Amino acid sequence: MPGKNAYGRQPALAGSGFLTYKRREKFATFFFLLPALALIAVFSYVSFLLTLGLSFFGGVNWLPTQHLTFVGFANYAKVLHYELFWRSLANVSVFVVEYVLIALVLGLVIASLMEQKIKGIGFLRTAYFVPMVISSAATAWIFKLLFIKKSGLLAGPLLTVTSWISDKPIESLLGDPRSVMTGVAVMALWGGLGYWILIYTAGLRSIDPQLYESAMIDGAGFWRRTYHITVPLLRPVILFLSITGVIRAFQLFAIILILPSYGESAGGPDDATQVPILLIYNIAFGQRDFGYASAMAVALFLILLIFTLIQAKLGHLGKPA
Amino acid sequence: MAETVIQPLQEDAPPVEPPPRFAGAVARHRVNRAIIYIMLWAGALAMLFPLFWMLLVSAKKQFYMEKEVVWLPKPWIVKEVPVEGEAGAFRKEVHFGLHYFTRIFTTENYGELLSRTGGKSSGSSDNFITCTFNSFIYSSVATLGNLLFCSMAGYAFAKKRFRGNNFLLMAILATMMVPGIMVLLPNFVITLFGLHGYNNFAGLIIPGLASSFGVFLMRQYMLSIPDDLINAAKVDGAGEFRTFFTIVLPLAVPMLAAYGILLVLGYWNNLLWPMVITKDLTVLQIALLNLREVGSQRLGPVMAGATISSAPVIILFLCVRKQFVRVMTSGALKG
Repeated sequence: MPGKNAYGRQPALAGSGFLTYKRREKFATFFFLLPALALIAVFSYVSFLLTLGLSFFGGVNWLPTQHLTFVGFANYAKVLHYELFWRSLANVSVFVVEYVLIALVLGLVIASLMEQKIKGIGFLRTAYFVPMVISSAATAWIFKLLFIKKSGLLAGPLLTVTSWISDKPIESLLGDPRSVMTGVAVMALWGGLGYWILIYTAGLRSIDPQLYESAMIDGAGFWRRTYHITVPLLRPVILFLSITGVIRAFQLFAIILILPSYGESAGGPDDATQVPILLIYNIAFGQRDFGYASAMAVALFLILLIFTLIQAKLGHLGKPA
Repeated sequence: MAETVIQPLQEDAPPVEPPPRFAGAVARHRVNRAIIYIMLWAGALAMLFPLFWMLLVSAKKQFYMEKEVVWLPKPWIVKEVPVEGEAGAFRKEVHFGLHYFTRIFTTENYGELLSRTGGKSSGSSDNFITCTFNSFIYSSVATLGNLLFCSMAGYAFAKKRFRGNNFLLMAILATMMVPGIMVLLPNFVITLFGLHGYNNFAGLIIPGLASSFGVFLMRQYMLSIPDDLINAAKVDGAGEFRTFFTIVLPLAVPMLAAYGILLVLGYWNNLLWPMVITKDLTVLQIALLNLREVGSQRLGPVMAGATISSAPVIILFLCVRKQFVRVMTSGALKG
């Protein structure tokens, strides 16, 4: 029989009847795309628009008995007048600044040191990268253990050091409203630094080594090479890391949940760990006011958008022509 | 078209060769090297220490908060032995040995953790074994589904010509810029009423089954599969699906494995979505959260829980570090 082959069938190219080759291919393409596109359309696009829409309605509850009432910008006005929202932004900003700045600098330093032909680099990489896979919940517990008042391993040294500089030394890093956000930043850095090192390393690998060689012949030391070659050439990488880093850091949530002791609600001590996502979560699932919570989410989104645009602008300012 | 900022990192790529040095700079060079080593090793130990501490406390005998200083006892015991012939005189004997371990280490923390049912705060009767099982089902099913859907879409984007290809891809990539909180509340409502997914695996798994990052990753990888191979299969009579499952998917295994690792980690460590959508279908991370009740008394069982939740992912990471590094550096999108 002509056209018989390994699969014992006519070549698919031939096609027959209604299902011509072209139709079949079109149908297949549609089928391949459908699940992923449908899911992304529903759970990203529709949801995004729904959040925007919900933010203009009052008393929205996820129980179907509730009637929607259009309230215009009332929810937004409520958000703007909600003191705790601003407090939570201030709290998370402390975290974002500490986390992103330290990770930007420390990540670059460690990544460039690791590129200097180090013995035992495999072990070092594993050590720096392994905290990345630990969940926020486990991380928060471990650091809580290390910094428990009095008996925590690092609580004593912390008390000693802070007593040199302050009349009221910090007894417990995570129990003191002054230091708790720094403590959260330490946890997040422990778990997140590996990622920054990784991206920096990939960026460093793409720099032409001849540039360094000629700079060395000209007598430039490590720091001058870093400042004049590495940093300018890594500009896109630094920009990428700082933009995505700020967006991720602003959504701090999981660590905050483990911090309070049993019986206390999240956000303490003294509202020092109230963060926007926690507020939104509590308003949505505690007070069940989805309209208000959506308005807050949109407000947060706009703030992040402005930050991103500013960062992108700043990143392109000093760009070499 | 979407460009990446950096090339995916191949871990074996040779590091930058240090250029030749000049005479006289050797001593300075040695000092510099020493400083580099000290800094890197100190940092590495600092990164590993919390994990070591977690393991240690999870395996140590009862540790009561605020009562006992959390350090190890001395590795020896001093016994006072009466000296023969002299009444009332004692000689000190120092004992080292295995008893040290039995005096400190115990499995009772793990036993307590595994025998306990969910705390009052959770209102759930799941114990840690059930939670581990739930997490396992959740992360494995969701990972397999996500891999399938993303590779299917990635294949279509890479190898099929259709109208709006570029536009659709950009539309998918644009969703990566949207913070998760912007879609959380409607996703909850849609899952609740559209999928009847409250408190069951369907609701836990389905909304996260496709990710724009995965589609993009698979597309990039499948661009490198030669068209001839796919056409040859078709000439041989393989249909569209046969071509996909027998030719394309096996060729994409390296990327599937790499992306799969990322997915497993993401699902295993996910806290927010399970918290929103489940009530007593407790996954491991929620179980850790619920340990606050025990944690206010003793941290031994809590650290046992942290160890149980971390050990599988650490082992996974150690096995597949190279693929992990590669996929983590594939996501740096420009613009």
